Amino acid sequence: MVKKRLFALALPMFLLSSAVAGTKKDTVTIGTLDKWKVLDPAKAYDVMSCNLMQNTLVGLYGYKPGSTVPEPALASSVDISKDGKTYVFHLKKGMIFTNGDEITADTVKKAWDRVFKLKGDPAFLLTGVVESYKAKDKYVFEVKLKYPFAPFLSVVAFTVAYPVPSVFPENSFFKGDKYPASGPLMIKKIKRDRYVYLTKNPKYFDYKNVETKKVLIRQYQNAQTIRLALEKGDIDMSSSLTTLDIRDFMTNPKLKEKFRVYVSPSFVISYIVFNVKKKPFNNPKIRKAIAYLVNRGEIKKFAYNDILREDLYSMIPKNMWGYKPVFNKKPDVQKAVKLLAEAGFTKEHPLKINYWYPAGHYGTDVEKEAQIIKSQLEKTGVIKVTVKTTEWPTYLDYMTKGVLGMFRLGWAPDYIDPDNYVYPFLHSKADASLGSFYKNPELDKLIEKARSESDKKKREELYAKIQEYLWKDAPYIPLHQTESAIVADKKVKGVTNDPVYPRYYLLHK
Amino acid sequence: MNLKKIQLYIGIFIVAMLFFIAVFGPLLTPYDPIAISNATFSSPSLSHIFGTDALGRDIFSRVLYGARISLLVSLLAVFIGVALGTFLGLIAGFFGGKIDKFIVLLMDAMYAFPGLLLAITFTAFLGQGIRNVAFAIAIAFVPTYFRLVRNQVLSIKNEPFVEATKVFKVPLWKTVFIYVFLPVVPTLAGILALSIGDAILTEAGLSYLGLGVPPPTPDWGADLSTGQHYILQDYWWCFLFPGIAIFLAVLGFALIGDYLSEEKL
Repeated sequence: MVKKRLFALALPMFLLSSAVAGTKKDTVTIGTLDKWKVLDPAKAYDVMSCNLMQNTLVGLYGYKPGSTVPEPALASSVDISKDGKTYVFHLKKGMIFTNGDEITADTVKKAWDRVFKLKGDPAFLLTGVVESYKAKDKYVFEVKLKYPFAPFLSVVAFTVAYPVPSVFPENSFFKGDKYPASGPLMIKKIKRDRYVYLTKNPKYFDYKNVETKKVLIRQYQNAQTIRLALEKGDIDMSSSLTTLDIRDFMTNPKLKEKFRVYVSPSFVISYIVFNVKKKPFNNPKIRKAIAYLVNRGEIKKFAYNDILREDLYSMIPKNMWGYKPVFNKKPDVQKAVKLLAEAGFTKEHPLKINYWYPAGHYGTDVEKEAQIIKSQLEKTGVIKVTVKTTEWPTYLDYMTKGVLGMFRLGWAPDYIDPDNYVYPFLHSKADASLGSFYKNPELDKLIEKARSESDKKKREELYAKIQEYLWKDAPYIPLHQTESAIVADKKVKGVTNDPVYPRYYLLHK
Repeated sequence: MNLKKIQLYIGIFIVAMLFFIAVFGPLLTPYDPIAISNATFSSPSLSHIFGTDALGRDIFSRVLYGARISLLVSLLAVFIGVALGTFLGLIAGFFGGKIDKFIVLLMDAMYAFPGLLLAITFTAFLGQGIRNVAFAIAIAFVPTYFRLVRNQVLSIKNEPFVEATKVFKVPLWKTVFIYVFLPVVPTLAGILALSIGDAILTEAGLSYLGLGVPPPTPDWGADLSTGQHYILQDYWWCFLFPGIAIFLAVLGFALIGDYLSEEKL
């Protein structure tokens, strides 16, 4: 039935596949909508750039597949002082990049020098907590922190702290796309916005445990082409499909025969942001009224076909320790109308607002989501919503300049710790790139306390308190937590929904 | 009745229907075009003759209401285009010299860009909304009307009868109206009808790209764009009907415009 249409659309696909070697026996081909921006740990803060580096470089610390607890990678062990402020990393000997250069404490130091000097987007993760660092010995790297910081090893396991090969210039960001690798895979061929071709790194220290021979990541412009490429066999797997397509792969018997859908919880969340400096959202009553009106279940049903989304009532995800559902679970129109009336808005004098979402960036379902949110707010008769959109780069620009008042964003964690869902969003020193401009000195103190506390139970109590502020002031409205879904050909082995990053190096046929 | 005449009548019939729908559309359907309902993706049936979309909205209602947006934007765009073009054409033609050279240069530069590209650039500047979209589309029309009017002015400016109007102290606006404007009206009419068709297509194109009126406003271009996401699910009604609507509207105006412009030759 689908065949005829397939043919017309398949022609350009055929031309594309002749450009790069097609699906060969030992190559696992992945289709994606994602784009990488820059391959430099000191600058990269977008998902695909980081993923590529996580598969081709290694840090002092890393994560075992499937785990969210950091453990030694390049380092063999770490000594942490009693006050929690000094970390001494002991490096393994004989770790090398593919160009033969050894990775020593000095390599790490040079990489960190770049991060501190160049001040790229993710630099604040290190500069915010690190007081000083030095290469104590050829294989000993010492870090002193400003204050004890419980999730520090998680930061060390993130790309920003990775040692880099000498081709990365000292005084500027790396502009190239190929570099000597230290991770399980290496970039063999790459063409921006077209494809990334990765092969096994023969000099990787854990070479034996790398199952992959070759991985080809093909970049597409829309989800439909990806689906067609999957059905036609041009690609073996993808995690970029729409919920509607995924539902088809889950239910259609013909598709089920050939493909498997891997679903698992993730730490990705979606939420609405208020710019608390911008009228009328500077009034907490209005923010709260809107929070009372959002019906997460309805959004899930209409915008996401009732799959892969879980209602979320805090900024900390459900499957992470410290989660406390603080937002109201059932929409309450009466309470919202009352709050709006207190803020001076009635049916005769309605509140007029704009709601923004980024076009394309989070797929096509967010457009539906925006229309549903509009209808939910307008149910009161007191709010009039204009839905607005613009493409991603402009959106980011508007956001940092404070043009957007109420808008949609999503968040994937840098490290797996509640701190990563609290500090960047609520602390006054956090990055302006999150758009809410929220400041609260009391809360700052609480967040800092939770960061520096090492007892998990005490931290949990502190995060509970912090989350209450989230509901009290409502600078954000959490919407959903995303479940990740990979559709893969049954021939492909080693497919996992890793909670930290996709492990390309485990894929094989 | 020859073939040309039949074309004209078909065109007039389609355009008349379009205006009828735009004015009386709400009376023809019981559904609110933006009301979300549980009946998502229902195929065309007696209760929803064009089916429903991803949010359970009645597509027939959306197509009917969409006619309003399409006509409103395109008429507004053409009106602005004609007004600006005529005004600039008169100034350039009458005053001549450096002013003329400057305006001609400007218009030629604008003419070098395809209409849709120019409109995309301007909406990117101005943002979404009916007025902004109309203005963005209008910009692309200005050079056409400018040339038409300027040529007319140049060709009669130095005619003896125009000189004579000065002797008899006929007011300038009267000279302009009778000797410049009226003679171009027939040509104008043909181009005008074609322009409206063009404007409808450009508006749909802008909305298709997400630059037109913001959702959930019913709009053919935007509905076509969202509808095509469901091709692989076989929900063909989501994009077919908005597509047919655009096609018919453009066809109607094109048939009339075609007839009117060919009459002149």
